[in-house]
Amino acid sequence: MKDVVFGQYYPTGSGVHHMDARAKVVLALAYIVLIFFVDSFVGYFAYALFVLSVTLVAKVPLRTLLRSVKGVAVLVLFISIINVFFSGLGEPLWQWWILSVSVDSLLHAAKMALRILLLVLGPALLTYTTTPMELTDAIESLMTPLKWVRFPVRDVAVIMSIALRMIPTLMEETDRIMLAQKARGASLDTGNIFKRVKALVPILIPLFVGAFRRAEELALALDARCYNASPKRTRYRILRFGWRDLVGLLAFGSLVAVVVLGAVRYDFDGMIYDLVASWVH
Amino acid sequence: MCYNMPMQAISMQNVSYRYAVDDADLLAVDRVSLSIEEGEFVVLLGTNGSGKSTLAKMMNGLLVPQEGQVVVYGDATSDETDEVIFRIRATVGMVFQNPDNQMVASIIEDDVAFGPENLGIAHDEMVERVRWALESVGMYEYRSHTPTKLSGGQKQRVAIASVLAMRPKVLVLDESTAMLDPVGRAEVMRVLHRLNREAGITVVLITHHMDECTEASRAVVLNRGRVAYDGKPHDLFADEALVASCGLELPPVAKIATLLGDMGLKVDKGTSDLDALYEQICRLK
Ligand SMILES: Nc1ncnc2c1ncn2[C@@H]1O[C@H](COP(=O)(O)OP(=O)(O)OP(=O)(O)O)[C@@H](O)[C@H]1O
Ligand SMILES: [Mg+2]
Repeated sequence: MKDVVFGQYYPTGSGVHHMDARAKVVLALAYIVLIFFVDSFVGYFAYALFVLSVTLVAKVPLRTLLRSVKGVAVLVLFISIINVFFSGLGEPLWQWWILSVSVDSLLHAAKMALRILLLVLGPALLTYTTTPMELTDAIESLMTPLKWVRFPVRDVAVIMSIALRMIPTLMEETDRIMLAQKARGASLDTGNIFKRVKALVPILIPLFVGAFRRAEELALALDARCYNASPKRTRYRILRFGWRDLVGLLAFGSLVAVVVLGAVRYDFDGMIYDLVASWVH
Repeated sequence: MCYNMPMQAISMQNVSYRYAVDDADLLAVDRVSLSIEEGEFVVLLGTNGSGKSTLAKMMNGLLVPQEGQVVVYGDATSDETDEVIFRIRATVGMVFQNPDNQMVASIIEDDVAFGPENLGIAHDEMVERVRWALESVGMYEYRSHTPTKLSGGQKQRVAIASVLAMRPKVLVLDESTAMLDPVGRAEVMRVLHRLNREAGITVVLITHHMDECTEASRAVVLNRGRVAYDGKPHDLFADEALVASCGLELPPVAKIATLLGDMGLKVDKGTSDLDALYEQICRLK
């Protein structure tokens, strides 16, 4: 059932997949926020351990998960290099012009790299174990309190759902238009960047015109299906918070505990510093 | 309520509609009076621009006529209270031409549930309705799929199910077979006739393929916004001059029957079924 709308969803039917999408979204958000408070190797190791165990439980192959890191590899490399040479931390082991390298800067760069990698891995895990449709449902449900301030939660949810629904259709249409333009002699993948961008215009215009025409019929179809009929709108999909979600929350709770306690109790970073320092000297 | 008398599903009296209000000549629908009884299978024919879609949109209140009145099971579409408007829309379900443009969810069962969700149907009943609707069109086994990989005929059957889940009494299909290949078209026609026969759903099928009305109980032809013919499909097939003047084309079998009839043979010109024609030819001599 591989399909564009499923994004990178990797179905294994595991417990993580069966979790309430709301719990997963909340956990992912907490995961992202918490990582900015982590500043010790203990914390990063705890984070890595957490990601690893969730991946194992979710039965997502590690290799598949690591694929999501590819996109940020260049960024990580760039930031690491900057941090190694320009941080100006600690006493330099090596110095040239404005560049200097120290044990501190090496460790700092390693932390930055870990932070970015872990930052990407968490949400990636979410998208591997949750379909975009479940995500929209979850977001709708989580936004429910906003109804009190007259925020059109329901409309936003329908917009998200339709956008998701239309992605494959519009992609198909783009392919068709591109073929049609190629058949008329348009060259889309030759020439310099300006020529290529210019060649996109005759593709984008029919695409937009087509999208607007679709929107017109879609609006009629929404009306015909009684959109906005009842203020007491019911839901077909019922999200249930279950024991799996409790386990997830507990697991994350222990991560938080390790991050907080670990940073306070043990001078793990000091040990690593000594280790690296003795190794470079 | 009185059940031995056929009930009036939709009644239109002297209905006119013009899109540009300042353009008095251009009436998309011109003083049409039409009444559709419960249980009928009506095929609405006409060439491009003859006003079919406009008429269809007036049947469930998407458009309200400037003149005349449309009444759906006792409710006038000109009524402005939400309750009546939505009751009419749930009663007269409408299926459009392009199935891709009427699906709102990426999973088939979610799409079918959209109408009942809007109507605030309780969860248990909604599940039941989604199942019934998808089973009625023979798509239940696809319920957890995405629509992208379905054939045109299957997509259109899902679109029909999506409307059925509102439990309409009338189905209006605006050229819903136009984009389909013959196989898909046959699938959809089979589903519609079964719904009409078994669930008692009144069907208004809009098309410009005359062969789709061979099994219908009634054919209505629109020509420039006016009703040019209203009666049995059989008599329409027999009247080649009228068919041509409305810009339509006889299906092949009816054409042959007409040709044979014109040659002076004793063949019923209105025959549209190949076997029936064959039988008549065999009985000649
Ligand atoms: N939104 C609109 N604005 C202005 N004029 C319109 C609009 N929609 C339709 N018309 C005009 O009204 C007339 C009837 O159109 P309608 O769409 O009802 O015809 P139709 O029989 O459904 O045609 P088709 O077979 O092309 O779908 C046509 O002359 C058309 O140009
Ligand atoms: Mg039309």
